Amino acid sequence: MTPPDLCAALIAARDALCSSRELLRGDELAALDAVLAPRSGTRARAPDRLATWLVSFAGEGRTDPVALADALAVAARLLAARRAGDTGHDALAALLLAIGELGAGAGAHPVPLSLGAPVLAALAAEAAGATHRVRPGRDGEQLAVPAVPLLARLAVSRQLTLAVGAAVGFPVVPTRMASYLVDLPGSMVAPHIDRDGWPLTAHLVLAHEPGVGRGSPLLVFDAGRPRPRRVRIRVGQTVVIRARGTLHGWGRLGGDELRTMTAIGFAPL
Amino acid sequence: MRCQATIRRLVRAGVLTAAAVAGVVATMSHAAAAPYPPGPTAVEEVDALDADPGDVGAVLAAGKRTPLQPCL
Repeated sequence: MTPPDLCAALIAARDALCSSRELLRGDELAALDAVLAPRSGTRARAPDRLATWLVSFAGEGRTDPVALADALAVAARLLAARRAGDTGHDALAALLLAIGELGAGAGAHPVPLSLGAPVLAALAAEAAGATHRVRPGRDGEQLAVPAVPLLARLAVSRQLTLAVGAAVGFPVVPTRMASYLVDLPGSMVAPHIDRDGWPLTAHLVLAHEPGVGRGSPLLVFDAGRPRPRRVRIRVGQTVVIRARGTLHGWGRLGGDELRTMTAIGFAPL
Repeated sequence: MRCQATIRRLVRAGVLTAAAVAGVVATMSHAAAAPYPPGPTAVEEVDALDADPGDVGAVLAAGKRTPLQPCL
């Protein structure tokens, strides 16, 4: 008998996957159906045991682990969006622990790298030039522009690779994927895990006009906390997110707020 | 705990010496505490990016065929 909060979150995720563009690879529904099957219930109640039970569906070929992680992330996002105190926290914690295990670890870490003013200015200028012609997408979503020469150079640079490795605590290699991201006034990035192929994502903030408020923070969900950690990243600072194992998002920008940053991919060596 | 008891029995039986056990423990403690990597532990100020041109070309090419955004 699966705990009602967790069961409800999984069913809500299934509904969301059925009714929207959230169907990603086609295997997510099968993953949730396996977990929700009548015979697959669990008597476990503690979040860590529930997480172990969830992760067990990825073993022995029962479901695709990538699809399972994506589906659990939808459930976690829907549960995290509820604001009813601590209700459902054990279920959310179980989902976050399971996502962390499927994604080989969770966390967001400051990257010990400081770009000199000329390099930072050149990147900001390149980003401004590359993104100014891009039109907003649907629903004011985050804009993305593929890497151009200087960003491409940063993405595979020895210095950033070493610094990202130092931040996460193990050696990494660039995935050779990078883009500039622009967050428009009033937009937000809902909690999510990054798509398959982005296990470690480095964000360097290049420009941020916070407007009258404190500015949109990075939101990092942690199984040990009822609410997400709010991390403010200043211009010139870089953070690396263990992005397949960490539910994360960006808070809503103010009406006069604008931010440009990088997304640069790395993977464990 | 079971492992410690076994090691104590082996030391008492003379199969292992206490010095050897202490050496192994010291090595393991050092490995666990060793920082990664030997390079930058403090913030490194970078004025010129050191990258292989072939890798840079691969990033530029990848942008034309893979999803741009990491978030779903």
